[in-house]
Amino acid sequence: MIIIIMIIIITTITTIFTNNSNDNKKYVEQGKLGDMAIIPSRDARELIYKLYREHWIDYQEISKRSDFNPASTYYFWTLDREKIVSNLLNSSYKAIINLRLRKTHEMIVSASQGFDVTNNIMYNDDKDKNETERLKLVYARLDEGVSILDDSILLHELF
Amino acid sequence: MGFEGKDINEKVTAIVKFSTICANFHSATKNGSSSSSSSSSSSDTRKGKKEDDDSDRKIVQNCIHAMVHDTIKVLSYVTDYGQSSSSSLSLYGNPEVYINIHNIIAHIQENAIHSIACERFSQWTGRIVRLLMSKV
Repeated sequence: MIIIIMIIIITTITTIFTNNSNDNKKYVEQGKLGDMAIIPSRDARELIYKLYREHWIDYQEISKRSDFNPASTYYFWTLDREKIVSNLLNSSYKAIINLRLRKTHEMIVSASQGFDVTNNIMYNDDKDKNETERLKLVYARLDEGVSILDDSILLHELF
Repeated sequence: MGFEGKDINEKVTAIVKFSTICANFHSATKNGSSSSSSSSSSSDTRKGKKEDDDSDRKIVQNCIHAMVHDTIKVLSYVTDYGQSSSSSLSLYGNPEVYINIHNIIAHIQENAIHSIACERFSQWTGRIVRLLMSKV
């Protein structure tokens, strides 16, 4: 009798969490998530916790017992898209800052060595020419990185 | 009137006439095959042109039909009878085709997030992220 009542309670809770749309979040039970992704449950658990550590996903736990023993606890996972987008945007802005700082650093270093890529200068020898070409390549790559990140930011900021 | 397709977001939806799409498609394909024979008579030319138009119209219809019934819901169009149906677009004359830009961007965003998850973690993690995204 007790077992039947427990099963009914668990089924009800699972249904509520699976179909809950009050906070626009839907939860998926850990085992079900592994089954849906066709990943062995052990691997799925590791991957899920890795995502949780990186703040990509969140969970709600429901325990059958008051001591919250993992063996008798159900974990329901959810993904907050806005949170992920916010994290990605922060990372992108950080990356842009880093790229610009790196470019400034490269310019300072090259200027201290007497190279000025922005102005057309006469090369003394092949070594100077090669160094200037290398610096131009470095600047182009850094600018390209900023451009790619800018596209990514536009995509995530749109809606 | 009714919409063929779902999830029309009126704020970010572009509207194009079906005839405009056909005309643009025709001009685009005509430019590619403009080196046809010039010695045929005028009646043959007119007949050939009409066949070309019909053929283009059919191609565009099929493409639009496929996109309307795609899971991304890229396009939608208006029906005359106020009900959604899977009938061919040709039944409705010159309907307006709605381009659901919101759905397109949302799909690209989803793919971008999935791709980032795959690159940062692993392919399997990307799969979990995609599953969870589809559930939210």
